[in-house]
Amino acid sequence: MIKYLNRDVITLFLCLLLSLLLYFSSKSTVVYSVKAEIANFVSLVTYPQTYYSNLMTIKKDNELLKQKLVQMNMLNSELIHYENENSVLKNLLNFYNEQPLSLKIAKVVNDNYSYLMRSITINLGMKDSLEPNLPVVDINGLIGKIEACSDNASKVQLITDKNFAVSVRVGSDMVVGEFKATHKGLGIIYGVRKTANVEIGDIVYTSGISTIYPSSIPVAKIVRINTNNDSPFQDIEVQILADLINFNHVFVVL
Amino acid sequence: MIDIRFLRQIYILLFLIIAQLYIPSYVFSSDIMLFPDLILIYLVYLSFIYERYQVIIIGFILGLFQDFISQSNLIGLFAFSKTIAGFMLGLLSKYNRVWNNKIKIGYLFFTFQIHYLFACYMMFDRNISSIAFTFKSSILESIFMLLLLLVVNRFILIDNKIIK
Repeated sequence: MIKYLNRDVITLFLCLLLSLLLYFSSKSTVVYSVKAEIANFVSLVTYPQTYYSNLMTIKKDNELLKQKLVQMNMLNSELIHYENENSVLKNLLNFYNEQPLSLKIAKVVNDNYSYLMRSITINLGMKDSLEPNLPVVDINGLIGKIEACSDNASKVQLITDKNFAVSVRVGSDMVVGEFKATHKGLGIIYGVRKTANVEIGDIVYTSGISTIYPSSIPVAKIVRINTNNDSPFQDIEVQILADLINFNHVFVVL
Repeated sequence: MIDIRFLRQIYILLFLIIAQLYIPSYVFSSDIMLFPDLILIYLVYLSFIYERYQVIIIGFILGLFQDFISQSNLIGLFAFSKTIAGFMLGLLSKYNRVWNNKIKIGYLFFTFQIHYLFACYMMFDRNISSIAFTFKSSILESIFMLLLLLVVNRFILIDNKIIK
């Protein structure tokens, strides 16, 4: 019985297969509509499997997208950094072009903030024609001087260093005084007579008397003046102009 | 030496094919025309002579003939439906002595219905005709064919009556 059934079923399937092959080989619109309906039916039947497979794909896609998002965020941060750097470099370039002094731009590669000694390291050295005691400035004003040089790097003594002093001129009379740093970006101008015409907000420049610093480099701005003391000199407190927090690029005055 | 029985079948078949070509159709309504399917009736008759797998093959071949003579752009349509009809009619001959006339008539109607359902589904364009029209057409065609079969059974198949 089973043998006969198998024979019947096999014959049926073969004949059906052959007739379907003939039918679907036709290019009639009816066949296309039947094909479309069969496709719809198959998609309906396989919907749970497709749905599950889509879920799995979505999970994988989600992981990939998360990874991509992290990469994009990193790239974005990098681009923002480049944008900022570009802006800073543009400012530096403008400053460089406007200066009458011969300058050499250097990148700060290290800094050292000990209690007394305050210095930074720049990426230029003797190979770049640098030597000790050359003044170092940024776009705002004097930042220090070169203390020591190697072939490819130099150590810069900062203006805030306790051992740093510079001869300056102040006020409309251009009275000579001596600048020394105190704390938190502040300093004091020593040796300015009480008769000198000095006002708050005046800019303090290098005097040019020193053999190290050329004249007219901005150093600081007067923030407080005290003449009520027993000495013949004024107490002048100043704010250092140079940016002493964010070191990126500095200029060496040759 | 050719078997007489086989030769007779060939003559009948040739006659049926020619008759199928020229037989008029009955216009039932404005949108439905009923075609007397002589080949299907012949297949019912053959299902009592041959074995089931043979009826399936004969159904397929006769369907293919019908495809060529009735329409040429959907070859395989009647071959498919007649193959299914052959498979179902094979069961009728198996239970010929077991089933009574009512069951036989019911089963024949069911077989015709399946045959025409597939044929109509594969023949009508769904962009023009609805699926309801397919059902309506297949039911009417099945009833028409069953009536025709009963007439043939009553007046032509005197010796080999399907429904006694």
